[in-house]
This record gives sequence, structure tokens and C-alpha cells, in this order.
Amino acid sequence: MPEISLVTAVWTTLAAFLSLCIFSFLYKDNPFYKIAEHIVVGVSNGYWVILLFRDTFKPLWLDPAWSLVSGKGLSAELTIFVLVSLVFSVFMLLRLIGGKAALLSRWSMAAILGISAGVLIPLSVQTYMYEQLKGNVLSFGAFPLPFFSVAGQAAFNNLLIIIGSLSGLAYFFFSKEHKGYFGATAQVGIWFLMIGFGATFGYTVMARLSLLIGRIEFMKEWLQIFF
Amino acid sequence: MGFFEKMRQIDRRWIFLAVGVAIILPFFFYIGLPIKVTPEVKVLYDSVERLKPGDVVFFAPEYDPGTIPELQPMCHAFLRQCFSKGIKIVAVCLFQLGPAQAEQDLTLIAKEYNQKYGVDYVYLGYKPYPETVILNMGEDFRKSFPKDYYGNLVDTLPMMRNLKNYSDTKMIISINATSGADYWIRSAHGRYNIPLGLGVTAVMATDYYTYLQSGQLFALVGGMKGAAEMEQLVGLEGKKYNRATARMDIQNFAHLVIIFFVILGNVAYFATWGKK
Repeated sequence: MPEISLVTAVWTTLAAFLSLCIFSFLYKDNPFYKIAEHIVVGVSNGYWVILLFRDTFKPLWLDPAWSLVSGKGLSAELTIFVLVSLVFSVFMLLRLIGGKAALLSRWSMAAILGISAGVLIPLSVQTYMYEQLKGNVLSFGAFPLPFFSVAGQAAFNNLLIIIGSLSGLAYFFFSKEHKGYFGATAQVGIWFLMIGFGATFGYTVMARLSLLIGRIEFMKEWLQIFF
Repeated sequence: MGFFEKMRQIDRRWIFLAVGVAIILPFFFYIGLPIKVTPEVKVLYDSVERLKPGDVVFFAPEYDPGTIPELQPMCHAFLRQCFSKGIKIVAVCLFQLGPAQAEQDLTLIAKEYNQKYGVDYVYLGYKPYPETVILNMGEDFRKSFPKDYYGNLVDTLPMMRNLKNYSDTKMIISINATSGADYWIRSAHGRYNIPLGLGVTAVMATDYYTYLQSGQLFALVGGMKGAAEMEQLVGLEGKKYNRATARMDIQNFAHLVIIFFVILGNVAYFATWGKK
């Protein structure tokens, strides 16, 4: 273990103490856990507020606004940006007052939602519909694809993807009663869904254990400061 | 009360204890189980290997200390591979809790390989509303980041003089612990069609395999296992270069305990079927 400074040792000890506080919840809820939980929320919030101020609010609005007020000169484009964003921000804050004035906040919300929808709808259609549909148009008989492969393209795997997609969709199609051939297809869809959930569960266990391993490794390194 | 009925009512804290012991014990016995490299990780390594010194990769490490055990090893392995080959990095972090973490990782690995800031790598930092920032950077990095993380004007950095947007880079790699991974797929690959590779936590991995299969991602590194595969490919000797690989031993042992409990739970469930 390399030599570490007293300050690092103190901070590491505090981190280890807070980790133990969080772990104590595994036994039952207690004040130590609550303290650690509140510190996490508070520190994260404080960090984010400062980050937003330093990286966004100050350079993008406060500095140009100050240039405008102090008569240093600002381009027409930036002047409009500063003033429009000021007006929309005030509108948003009027929600705190309530009453009829609060209705003006809808203008700000409308601007945000309108811009977001305009930007995101075409991108979402492209990403989640077009590209995914294209990904399902697969060849399952073409030479020289291997018949089976654990990973990668193979005729059997492609067939499985097509059957899984169609039967999965059948399960979520509720306009027709799940009976006969359609019911059987939906049943196959359930199996695919369950296998998918199983894979997700396995990965989730792996992720949570990874975090636990990381924390225990940290505790080990902390103990090595003293022993 | 029979054994299986007792098992069905076992206090979950015994399970926590068993998992805890299963994780602590292997710290003392290193077995070194082999790690098989999967094609979705290998393709990332191979793509970087094919680049020439001086090529630029756009990198977005977007994770906070909460996911360090899984994502930091893959981030470090990737940076080591790039810096060792003389590949330049332009980095951003669009996850609000990650900018300091990203800065720490970049400077640490850059120092290992004597990489100079502004010449070999640049860190642009953080801006909120990731989707807008990603779209803006596709036109010009300066639109969202006129200044870098340290407050330098981007145009004053030698490396950035000939870099306008994503098309001047070879690929985008995002190591991501958040839904921000979707933004990169939707706005960087979807809008600008730049080759995109992702490193994600294991919880997220299954959600992103569909994008791998559809070709929207060219590589996917999932969780600690993926990180260990990256380390194997980069192939550096020594504990500090193989943290995920060492942790996979512990992971495997803990998985055995979980599998034992899953089997026991199921056997107990069916053995006591219909009994009150």
C-alpha cells in the first residue's frame, strides 16, 4: 500500500464509515443509514446546482446579460436570446405565485415541449422504428451463413429473432382474443419474453454484485491504511 | 415445520450474509478463471487497433462513482489502448454527476502515457440537456463548448484547430451508466451516422443488444465481464491494469451462491406446493 497523506486517510475513513452506514440497512432501517442517505442526496444536489451555475447559467446567460447591462455591447442575436430566455424564465417562476399569473408558465412549457417534440419525433422514428424494423429483416436461409452460431449471424439465430419478434408482438396485441393459432403464437411470445427477463435478471445480479465487490474492495483498501 | 417450509420462510438477511461471505472469501484465494472474449467486445478492440496514430476518437465517459467497479476498468482499458497507439481523444461528459470522474480518469491515464493536454487529448466538460448538446456538436463542437472544462477557448488548443465536428473523428465511444446511452444512439448515430460503440453497466446490457443486432452500435461492452474482456485484449500485466479480471473471480464465486439459492428456492416452492 503506498504512503498516503493524513487528509486522504481522513476522507477515506469518512467514506468507509458512510459505506458501513448504508450497509447497515441490510439489517434494518436505522438513523445511521438515514444520515448517509441524506448526505448522498444533499451532496449530489449541491454538486449539480453549482455545476449548472458554473457551466451553463453563468457562461450562457449571466455573462451576456452582464455585458448588455454594463453597456459592453452584445450582438443582436445574443441580445434577443438573453431577453427571450429572461421572459420565459420569469413566466416559469410565476408558478410560485399561483393564480392567473401562473398560467403564463404554460408559454414556457409549450416552448420546451414544442422544441423537444420537433427535435425528437423524427429521431425516435428513425432510431426505434425504422432501424429496428430494418434489423428484423433477416435472411435465414441464405448461403454461406452458418446454420448455428453461439454469437453472430447464423440462419437459426435469424429465424429465432423473427419468430421471437412476431410472437412477442402477438402477445401485446389485445384487439383479438388470445385463442387458437393466435393464442398459441402469443404463448410462444411469453416464452421469449420470459427468457429475455431471465437474461436481464442475470445481468442485474451481475451488476449489483459488481458494485458490492467494488465497495468491499474499497473497505479492504481502507483497512490496509491502518494494518 | 419441514426443511423446505423453513427455507421458504428464511429471513432474507441470512441470504445477504451468505452473499457477503461469498464475496469476501475469494479475496483471499485468487483462482484466475479464464475469461472468454466475446465478439461484441473484440470488435471494439480491433476497430481501435486499425486506427493510425494521430486519428481522433470522440469519447464520452458518463458515469459517477456509484458505477466505478464496472465502468472504470473498461474506461481505463480503452484509454490505455488509445494512448498507447497515439490516438487522440476528444472527451465530453453529459451526465451531471460524472464530469469530475471523467476528468480524473483522463488525466490519470494520460499521465501514464505522457500525453499532453490540448495536443493529445482534450476534455470539453459538461453541459446540460444532453440531446441538444449531442446534436449541436454534430455541427460544430464550439456551438456547445466554446470553452473546454478548464475554461480555455477551444480554438486555442492545438488539437482542436482542425476538428469541427464528429465527421472529423473516427468513431464515438460512450461508457455510460445512464439513459444518456440512448441519446448517443438516437442523436449521434441516428442523425449523423457516426460509428458508435457503447460500454454500459450489466443492468443496461440486455437493453442495448437489440441495437447491436440492428447495426446501430458496432460494439457493446457490458458490465464487469465486458471490462475484464477489454483488459484481456489490451493485455497489460499487473494488478492495476486488470482490476475487472481479478474481480470476475469473486463475481463467479458469488454467482454460484446465488444460483444455489435460486435452485433451493424453486425446489422448496415445488416441494411445498399446495401446503399452507
